[in-house]
Amino acid sequence: MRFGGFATTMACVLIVDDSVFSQKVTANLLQKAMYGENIAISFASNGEEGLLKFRALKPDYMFIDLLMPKLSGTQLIREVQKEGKTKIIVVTADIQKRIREEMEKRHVFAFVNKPLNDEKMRLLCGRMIRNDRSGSRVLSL
Amino acid sequence: MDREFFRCDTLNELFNIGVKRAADMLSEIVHRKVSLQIPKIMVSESEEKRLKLGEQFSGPFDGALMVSTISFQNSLNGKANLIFPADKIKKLVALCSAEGIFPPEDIAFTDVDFDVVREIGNIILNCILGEISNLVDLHLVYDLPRVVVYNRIDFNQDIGREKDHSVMILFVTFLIDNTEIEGAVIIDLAVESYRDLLRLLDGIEAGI
Repeated sequence: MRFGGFATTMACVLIVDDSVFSQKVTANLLQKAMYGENIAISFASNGEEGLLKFRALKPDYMFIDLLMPKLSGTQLIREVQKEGKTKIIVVTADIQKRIREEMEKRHVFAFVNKPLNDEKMRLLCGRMIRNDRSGSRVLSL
Repeated sequence: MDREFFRCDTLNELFNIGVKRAADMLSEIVHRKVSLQIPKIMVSESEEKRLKLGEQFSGPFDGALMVSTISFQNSLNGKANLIFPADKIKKLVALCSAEGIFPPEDIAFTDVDFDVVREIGNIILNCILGEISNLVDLHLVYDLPRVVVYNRIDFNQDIGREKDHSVMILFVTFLIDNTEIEGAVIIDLAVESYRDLLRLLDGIEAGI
């Protein structure tokens, strides 16, 4: 397992978002919060590309937007969870309680409302570094 | 309490909460304090009211406009639009991208401009729609957001012809540092959905 003690092992993160602006925001905040850690970040601009890159890279963590063309975030999460153990961080503008509850039932690693910021990313990375699931509870930010 | 008053008051409150949350989120994106001025919500139900609403769009909304739109279905059917005068978009994008450089305003829009406005529109409109959805326990399913630039919009004609729809309009001015960005949110609901929403608000008043 990569992460969880890291620095010596490379952690692989895939960011899937149809907005290049949001990809950059997520990547910049992640690099800042993970400063000094060994981390490789890849990008995909829709769900379909996200699935292809997931299969090729087998990332440790995926940041997934829900509203995307070609294959929605929800469909992508379903496929990823069927095929691997990659931990999923949902990053969405959708603030509806039902969406949050639906994602919690899917046992994603974390659910984050956009926009991501330093504080949210710091909490998220803290949990990623500790590789901490705190039981089955989804980190909700 | 008078039912009409309660409905209007609740809609106002919902929009205010949604827009306030949207301003907080915008503040996080631009890393600056964002102040907000929100006048009351205006709703069109009759043709006469629709025409009056169209007349409200003047000044900053007379020229080219960039419109970010999200359509939604399921519990309610309609679409939400966030409208910004096009001449303010470059400033907004510069603030969001943290470059802080304001390019000349006559430069054509780039893919980056569209991407940033689509994403900001997505976040702001989700705040407003999400607040409504959470309060009255609805589930909205969104389409992909899209952004279009119009050289000019004839709001009288556009709002006036939507006979099977009810239109709710909110003029919002964001003040980011010394940059004032006037915007408008237009929520266009199918008449049946508008009635459903009012029924749900009535249920809150009745304590259901």
